[in-house]
Amino acid sequence: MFKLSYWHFALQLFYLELKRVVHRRVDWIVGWLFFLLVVSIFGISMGGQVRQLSAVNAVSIIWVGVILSILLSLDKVFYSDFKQGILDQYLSSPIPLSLLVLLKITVHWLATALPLLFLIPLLALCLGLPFYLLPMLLLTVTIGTQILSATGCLGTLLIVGLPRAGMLLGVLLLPLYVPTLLLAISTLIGCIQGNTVMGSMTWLCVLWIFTQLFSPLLGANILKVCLKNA
Amino acid sequence: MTVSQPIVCNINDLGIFRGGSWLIYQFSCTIAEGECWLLTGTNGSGKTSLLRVIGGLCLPDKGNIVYTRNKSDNPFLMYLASPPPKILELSVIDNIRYQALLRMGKQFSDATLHKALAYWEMRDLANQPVFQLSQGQQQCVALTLLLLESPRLWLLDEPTTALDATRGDMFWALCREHQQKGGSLMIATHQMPTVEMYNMKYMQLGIPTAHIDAVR
Repeated sequence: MFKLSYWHFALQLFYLELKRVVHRRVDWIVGWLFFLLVVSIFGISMGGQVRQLSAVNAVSIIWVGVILSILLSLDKVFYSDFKQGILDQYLSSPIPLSLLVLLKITVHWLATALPLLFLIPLLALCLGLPFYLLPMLLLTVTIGTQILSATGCLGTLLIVGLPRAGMLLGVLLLPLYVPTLLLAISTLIGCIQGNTVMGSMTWLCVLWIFTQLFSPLLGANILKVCLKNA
Repeated sequence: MTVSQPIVCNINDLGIFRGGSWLIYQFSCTIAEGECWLLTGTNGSGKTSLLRVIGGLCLPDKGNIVYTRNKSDNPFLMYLASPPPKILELSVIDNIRYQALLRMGKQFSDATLHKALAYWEMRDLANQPVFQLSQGQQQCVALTLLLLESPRLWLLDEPTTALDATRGDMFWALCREHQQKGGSLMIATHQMPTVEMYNMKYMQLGIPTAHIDAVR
């Protein structure tokens, strides 16, 4: 994994993967629109009394939107590669599997979560979120989505061969997303109430480091088990 | 059996268990350098499964495969599935680039890639997205990989199905050239070679080998 040439090849692949994202931009843009709409539908369901939303309500609505849009974008990560026989080639690749999984996770995060970070300030404004909360919200979403992306990609790998995996993916992943959501929201609540946020923020960072370190390795093993025995 | 050529791959007593019974049972063969094995058999007789196992994509349920690879072999073998692996949204040239990186860990210059594509007379299609190509052209894109960097053992699954007569001939000529360089082939196909090959070996799968109880 640490041979330099592998990183070079992975970088080239990364470039080609980004090209794929650009070619299939419509798929990803729909994901961003979905996020906008999910959050606005919460606002609309308040019947125009958005001003009465508390700050806690507003951040939780945004977080739910983030989780849902990440969840719905996951099927795009490995499915077409599996269908078109590219995933098979991962196994016979000289590039380490974990590096390839890391690459996929990174591309997924860039294509799904990064744009959300630009949409959040706009939505926060619409939901009447106090301005001082915005940096903290963006920080938790940045860290949180990286955890969600990594866990989510592992989940998709597990069920990539199954038909109608969409619902199953939700059932599988939503419970796994709870810790991240809890830590992020408790950090934000701490911020709103003026308490210290060090505790939950630290745990969020621990979770983040843990997933970033282990998800590529875990993903590589899942791939081996799932494909070799298929 | 006298083996005059160095052995590339030795398959011992292979068994593949699928759907409650043995698809392939006690399959043994030795692939030597310069040999061309033709796998024939009815649909569902296990040609693809066998190739996948030899290609290292699946584990056999019984028996083993021993490769005699040299240090310089990178990659040692290349398995080409049917339908060919592809990334639909990427252009032809990016597809080849992507798969060359992924499968061989190698990078090729644009000139090399164009030259390889020119073999199939597909040079002007280089920047077309692959989903716009026909089945046969997609097959050619996959076969271009073999032109770039030739591994010693080619495992090809129905490579000629979608190809037209001219390209079929070109494909078999390519295989012959590969043999001349000491390469080996194992091809699952329903169509016999149109070009005369060296060292042809036939292997028919799906001949009922008594009734083997499904004991794993």
